[in-house]
Amino acid sequence: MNPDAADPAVDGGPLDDAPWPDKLKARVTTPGPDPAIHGYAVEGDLARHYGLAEGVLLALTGELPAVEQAAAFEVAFHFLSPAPVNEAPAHAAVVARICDVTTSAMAGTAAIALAEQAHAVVGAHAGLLAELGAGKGAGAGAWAAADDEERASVARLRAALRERGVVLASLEADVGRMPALLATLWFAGLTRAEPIEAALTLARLPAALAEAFATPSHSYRDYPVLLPPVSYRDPP
Amino acid sequence: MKPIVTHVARADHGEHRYFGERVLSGLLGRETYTGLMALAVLGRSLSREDVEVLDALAVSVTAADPRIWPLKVARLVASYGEMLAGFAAGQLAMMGTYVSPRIIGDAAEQLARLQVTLDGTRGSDAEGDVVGAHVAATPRLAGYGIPLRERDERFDALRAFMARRGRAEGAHWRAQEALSTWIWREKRLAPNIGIGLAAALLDLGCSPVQAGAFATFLIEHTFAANAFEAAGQREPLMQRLPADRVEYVGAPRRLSPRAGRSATSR
Repeated sequence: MNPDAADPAVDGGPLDDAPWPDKLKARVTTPGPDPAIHGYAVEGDLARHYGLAEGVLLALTGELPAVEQAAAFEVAFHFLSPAPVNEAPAHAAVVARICDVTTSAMAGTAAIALAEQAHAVVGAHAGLLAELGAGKGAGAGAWAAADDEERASVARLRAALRERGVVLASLEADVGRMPALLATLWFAGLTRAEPIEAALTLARLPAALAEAFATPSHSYRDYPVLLPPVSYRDPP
Repeated sequence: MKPIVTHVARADHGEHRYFGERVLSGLLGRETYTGLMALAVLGRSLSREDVEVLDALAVSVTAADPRIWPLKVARLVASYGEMLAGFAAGQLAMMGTYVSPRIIGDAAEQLARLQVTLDGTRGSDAEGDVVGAHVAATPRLAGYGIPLRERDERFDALRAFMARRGRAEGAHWRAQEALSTWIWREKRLAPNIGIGLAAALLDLGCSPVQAGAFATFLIEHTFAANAFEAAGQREPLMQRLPADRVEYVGAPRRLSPRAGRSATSR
């Protein structure tokens, strides 16, 4: 008797009766002692010849990036990396830390909140991504900078990219900070919502976790529990 | 800073308020767990009879086989020993479009629309026309079709329960019956538990959004059961499948351009 076979006396049911594949498909990482990502050996090739940004772009896009794309991604990654504690992801991670949870729970909390934040950001810029997909560039209009602080940030982004040999026509317009960063990620090869959301999440995770790690656990009385203010009313 | 208004709860001195109720001096000894869930979603208490219907819905929708996709997620994540991580991951796996009780919210929204247009046509020739027009105008009809089997035993059991308890005369349940009859006759698609839940929840006074939320909460015990057991088992096969059970179908092995140049320059 096949030791893997289900016991029909106990395990008969629609799931057991239907045909299913007998193997799990791997589409990115080859399992085993000498793993490869999208075909490139991790230990004997990628680790010796490529940087972290290139490895991340390879994983997210399936192809190794050009030098300029990797440079643009690194710059955008830095710009996206702050996770201020007044925003929900780092705030939630800090509260989880105060609750004295495991590192896994802190990481999970931060990752979920960051992924939700990234999903909201990308959703709010769906029109921009459509314009980039149509080859129109980020442009201004709906994606224009809201104030001089944004303009200054985009100017710093332009300068950082230029120092790495990257000049993006999209950034020459009066474009806002997030549209400019999404256009940079697009140039780096992230041309779908899914990998862009992944990049936003990955970029902020270290800082969000670091904010939590820096918070004393059990520090309930040191946390402003009344912020933001919440007021109870009986249901109407 | 303008306060965020909540109707959920407040910790008072010596008491806790929950949706207008006093927890210790009002709810304790009177309210059930399912009733508390009704308070959580609806913001108001249901009658004992209505809570019994909710209990029946929770029982009828119980399909906790660990191989069902979102429950499998719960078990995979819990396999390292942490029940709550598995439970949370399983909940996230219900955020999808197809394997999700959120579909019950869609079914409820569609059924609520049909019920309004069906009103007054019961038993007349016009009923079939109204249902046909509704189906034609609804691109993705939720609550019909059953994977891996011809009928949804959960729907059939719920239908029998609703008839036994005199609940089959609710406006939305009757709309569901008219819709199910039409769809079976015209498309040979049987109703699944989703349309039954949607109809019953609408007749309990839920909005479609509340119906979708309820449907999610009513199956939480199936995630609890799987996450709890999997965390205790710490099953190595859940943590890692044997390599011979994995088939790689991605890009073939290849040398990177830099590795290629490095090799030729040596």
